[in-house]
Amino acid sequence: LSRAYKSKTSSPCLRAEASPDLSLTTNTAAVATRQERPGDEAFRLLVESVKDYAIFMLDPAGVVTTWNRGAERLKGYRPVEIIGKHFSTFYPDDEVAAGKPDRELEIASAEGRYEEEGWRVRKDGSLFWASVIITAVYDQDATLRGFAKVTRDLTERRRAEQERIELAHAQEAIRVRDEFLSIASHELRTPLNALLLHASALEILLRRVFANQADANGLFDKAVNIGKQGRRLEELIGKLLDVSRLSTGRLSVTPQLVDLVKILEDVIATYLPEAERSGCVVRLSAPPSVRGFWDPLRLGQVVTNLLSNALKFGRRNPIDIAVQVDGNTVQIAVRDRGIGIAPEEQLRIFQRFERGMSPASYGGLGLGLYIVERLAQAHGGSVRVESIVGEGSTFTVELPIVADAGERIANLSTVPEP
Amino acid sequence: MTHHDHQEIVLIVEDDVETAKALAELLSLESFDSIIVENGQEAMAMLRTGRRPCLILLDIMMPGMDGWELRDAVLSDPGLSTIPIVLVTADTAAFGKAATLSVPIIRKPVDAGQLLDEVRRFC
Repeated sequence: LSRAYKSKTSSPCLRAEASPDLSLTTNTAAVATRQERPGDEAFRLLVESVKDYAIFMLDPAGVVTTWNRGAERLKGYRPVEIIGKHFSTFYPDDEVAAGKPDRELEIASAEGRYEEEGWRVRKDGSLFWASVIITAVYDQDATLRGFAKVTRDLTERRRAEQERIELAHAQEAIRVRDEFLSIASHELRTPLNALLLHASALEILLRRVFANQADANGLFDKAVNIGKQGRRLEELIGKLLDVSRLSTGRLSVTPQLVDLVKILEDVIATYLPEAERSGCVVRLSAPPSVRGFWDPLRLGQVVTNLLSNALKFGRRNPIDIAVQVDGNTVQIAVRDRGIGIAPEEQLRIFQRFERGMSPASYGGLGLGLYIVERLAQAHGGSVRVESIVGEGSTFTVELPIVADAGERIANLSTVPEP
Repeated sequence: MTHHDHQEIVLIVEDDVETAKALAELLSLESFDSIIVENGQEAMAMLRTGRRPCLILLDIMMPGMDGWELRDAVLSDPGLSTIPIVLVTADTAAFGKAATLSVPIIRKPVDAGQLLDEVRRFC
């Protein structure tokens, strides 16, 4: 190889012309001048045929002297196009301007090798993320003969790594937000619980003190209303907590044998005063009993959210709740005759913090339907909406009727075994 | 609390002092006396003095020894294991566990009527 390295003073152009078909590892001029040992040819062919790594030699000044197939594939140059050119061609302009290529050779000659990952430029100008090793090559007299350069394209790996990092950041951000939500709702609830107890005590005291005074009814109402509004606030905070649990997978569903119709009747009963205020009549049409394994609390939450929505958007028209058993599934349909939901809104309303209406016209956080859908799914069911703007909406929850608790509890419950 | 219409006393275990005081005041309206402790360790210390409450109103989410751990400690002490316990919590996740263990549970925010009914049942 000696001649190849000695020729570093010759013009790169001449060198390229002198060996026009250099698809070889070594300079043909060099090969031609000496006796080739059998191992040399095998090694030359080996390096030449490597496709996944660019393997090539630089002379001591950094001029490309050999070029393998991998180098051609990676960087896009054919041997005639690049042999004789300075290797700084492979670096982005700003790095060339900063003297990076020469510095790398300096380090390699001082320390024996230089290794890094960085951006490199292909023939077509595109960038790739390269793993580069530059090894200084010395002859027997310890004279620097040049550098062996091995380059790998790690663009894909880097992209995958970047995506992994971004995903991890996103997940961490969600975790932090949900943890905040969880702590905030707990902290907000604590004084509210005390406040509601005081409101109850106030009501009891007022009724006791003013027991026989007809004109004291206004006082009782005030105490009752403090409690009512406090409970509304509590419910909203509870929804925030549920949402944070839903998204961190900590919401537990504990099925037990319950009568769905009984749960519906209970929920409707608790909503009678509110229904009266909003001017809606709530009608239930259901078989006498539908028994199955569901989480009564979560089922109540599903019905509560649908019914409170119907009351909110129902425009003083009757609300019909219908229960229908169809084979192994039960459908609970809550129908209002209110403002309705535009088709383009109908998917969006099941997402977190999304609302069909502007917050200015109707209150709420936009969490109710999100919770309904997640709870229905946790029971192996689903929810869908049919709606016509101006005519009203029907939300239908479909749940499997599970007659045997065993497997479902094992799968869904996050409550530890006692 | 200084009412003596009932001989017995309710032990309120609740880490939020304001909530505990509000519970005690509500109970006092129906002439139930109560003692407030802020955590599981204090509760065990009080119970071991020998004063036996007619009922333990037990918050679940407490720092240190939580409500479930206190319940276990009470149940495993032969002198205390027959004291009735009613859980009071906003943690909906606790409801399933309470149901499987048949422990009475009151949901926060506490409904005054329900609370007083439970207390009357035991005291």
